[in-house]
Amino acid sequence: MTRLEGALDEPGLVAYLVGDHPDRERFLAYADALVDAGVSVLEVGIPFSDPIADGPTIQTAVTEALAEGVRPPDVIEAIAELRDRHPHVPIVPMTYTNIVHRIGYDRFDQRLTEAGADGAILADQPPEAARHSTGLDELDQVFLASPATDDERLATVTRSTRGFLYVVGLFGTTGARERLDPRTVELVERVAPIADDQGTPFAVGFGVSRGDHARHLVEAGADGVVVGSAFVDEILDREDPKAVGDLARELVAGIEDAGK
Amino acid sequence: MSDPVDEPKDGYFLHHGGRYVPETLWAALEELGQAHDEAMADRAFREELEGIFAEYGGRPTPLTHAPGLSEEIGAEVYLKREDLVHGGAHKFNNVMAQALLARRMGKSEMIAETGAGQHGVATAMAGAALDLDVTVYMGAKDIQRQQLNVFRMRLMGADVEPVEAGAATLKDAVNEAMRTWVADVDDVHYCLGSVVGPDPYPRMVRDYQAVIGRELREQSLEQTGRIPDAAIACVGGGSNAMGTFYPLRHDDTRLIGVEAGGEGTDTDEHAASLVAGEEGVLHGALSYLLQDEDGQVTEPHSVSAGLDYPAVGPEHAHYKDTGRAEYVAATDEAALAATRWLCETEGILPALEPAHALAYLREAGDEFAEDDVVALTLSGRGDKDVHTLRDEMDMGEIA
Ligand SMILES: Cc1ncc(COP(=O)(O)O)c(C=O)c1O
Repeated sequence: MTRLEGALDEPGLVAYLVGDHPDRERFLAYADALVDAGVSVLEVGIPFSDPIADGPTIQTAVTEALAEGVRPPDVIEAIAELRDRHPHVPIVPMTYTNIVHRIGYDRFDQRLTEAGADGAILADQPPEAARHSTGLDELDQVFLASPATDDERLATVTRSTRGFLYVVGLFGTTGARERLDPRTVELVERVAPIADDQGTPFAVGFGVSRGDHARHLVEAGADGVVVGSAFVDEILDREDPKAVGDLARELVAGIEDAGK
Repeated sequence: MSDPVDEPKDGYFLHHGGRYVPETLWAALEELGQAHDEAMADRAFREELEGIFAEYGGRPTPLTHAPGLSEEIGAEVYLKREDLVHGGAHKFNNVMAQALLARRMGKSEMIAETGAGQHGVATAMAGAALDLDVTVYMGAKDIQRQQLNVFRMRLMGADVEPVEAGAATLKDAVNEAMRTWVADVDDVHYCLGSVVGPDPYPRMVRDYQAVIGRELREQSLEQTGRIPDAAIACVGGGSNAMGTFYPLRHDDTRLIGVEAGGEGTDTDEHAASLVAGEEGVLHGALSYLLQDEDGQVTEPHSVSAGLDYPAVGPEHAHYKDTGRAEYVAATDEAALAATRWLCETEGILPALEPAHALAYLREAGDEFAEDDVVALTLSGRGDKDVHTLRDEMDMGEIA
């Protein structure tokens, strides 16, 4: 069993940060704060120039990182540093196809595995597109489902994913939302039996930002929630690792309250 | 060398193309591909489109013999006059067909990206004609550079949304249009402006632009008794070129695509993704693009805004790899000079985009035999470029 495969056996928080944003030192401090707060999976963004799945918050952070000269090898190095500090937490880089295509699937797979990463999320790569490439081998590629994914396709995507299934909870891009969209809860209820049937845990993301959102989603059957923009908002607004840790604790508490 | 495929399989022209998109768009692309196939198989749809092309668009456009060019080049040069279609560019063919398809699919709104504003204006026009709401995404920097086209879009009732992200130009406008589409995929049709993007766009836009090549082939047979020995077109995203090439692909015709060479393809200032780019994935398709060593997409440069795009349609990547078409580049300077050349020689003001094709013709004239029929697609008229032309020419770049 890889670190990632068991990660959501108990419902948990998948937390996203943009790699090396705002710089290496502060990135590591934020990541430490997340691990201390008890996240189940760390998702680390490798900046790409054209992030079509991301809303304004993550776009801003990615643009800042690129302007600071952050390159994929830097983020790989940062992941290695995180792995040194935290031997057990699963780490999953998140990026877009072109970054992987450019390095080469084999080299990406190998270098990230050596750095201690466990999986990969490519926001613009459905399973069909992944099959057209040489693919990732050591890294568990996590695929995404969305409200537009019908039941038949959902079963296929669930079969393709490794580690867990990433359920995009709404029609739209990443970004914190004040309220939980009722359709997100409906989606969770639709996904749960299909994912459970295959024994695949699933985490719900996009728009989730508060402890009560997390509690609702886990109560509805999710095995985890993914939160990114809410953390990045804190970083862009306040630059306070403690605030990032507090938000993570609120979310983890919400998940635990669901008492699944 | 191998023969190119006629149709993509699972969205791939052998190796290039595909659907590299967020999962939310998968179903919409599937639906769009099916709707397009059904429409093309439906005689009523085809007849309605042909009616619009003829009565509203002024098709067929003429194939004009260019005696002055022919004499200078030493071959029989013919111009396919897309500059004479309604709106002044081949963009018309694509937007009218997509608008008709959108209506057939029950969509009430179209979104589009635009760089210089040509595709935005065309989409606004199609929306007004076929009663669909139109929102156009345009980089904030482009909005400043292209005030007149912004005005034309608004005049035809479209909303123009400024995009501040990234470098605030065309590539960012496509990103934003895709993000918006993800958020409202049931009601909205994304009217993409070229043979780029995820499947089915490359083949769909090609099918709508293929009217150029079909007419050209027939007119050439009628007027010269033969199918062109060579067909030349400029390549931005590649829609006027693929529209020209596709109906000629099984003929013994040299197909030549001319990209924007900017300051030269040995500099960083160009938009020649096939000639000088490398393979990669942008806006949903695996093709050739301009990128740095890490895979970050770089900003292209061209004097012609319509060619200023860092990627190119995947079917062109396929034609390049199979050798079915040749791809070359012409510089800003050569295109400006070719613009003046056509004005003075034939009394036609071309858009700066097809001026790149003319620049190639002018330089490579020797390659053609005296009785060769050489067809060049004049994808648009140059009225939109007079400010640029005046500025560039005042600067003394061409004598
Ligand atoms: C007149 C004209 N020609 C050519 C192009 C380039 O597009 P494509 O390569 O898709 O034909 C444009 C784009 O705006 C245009 O306006």
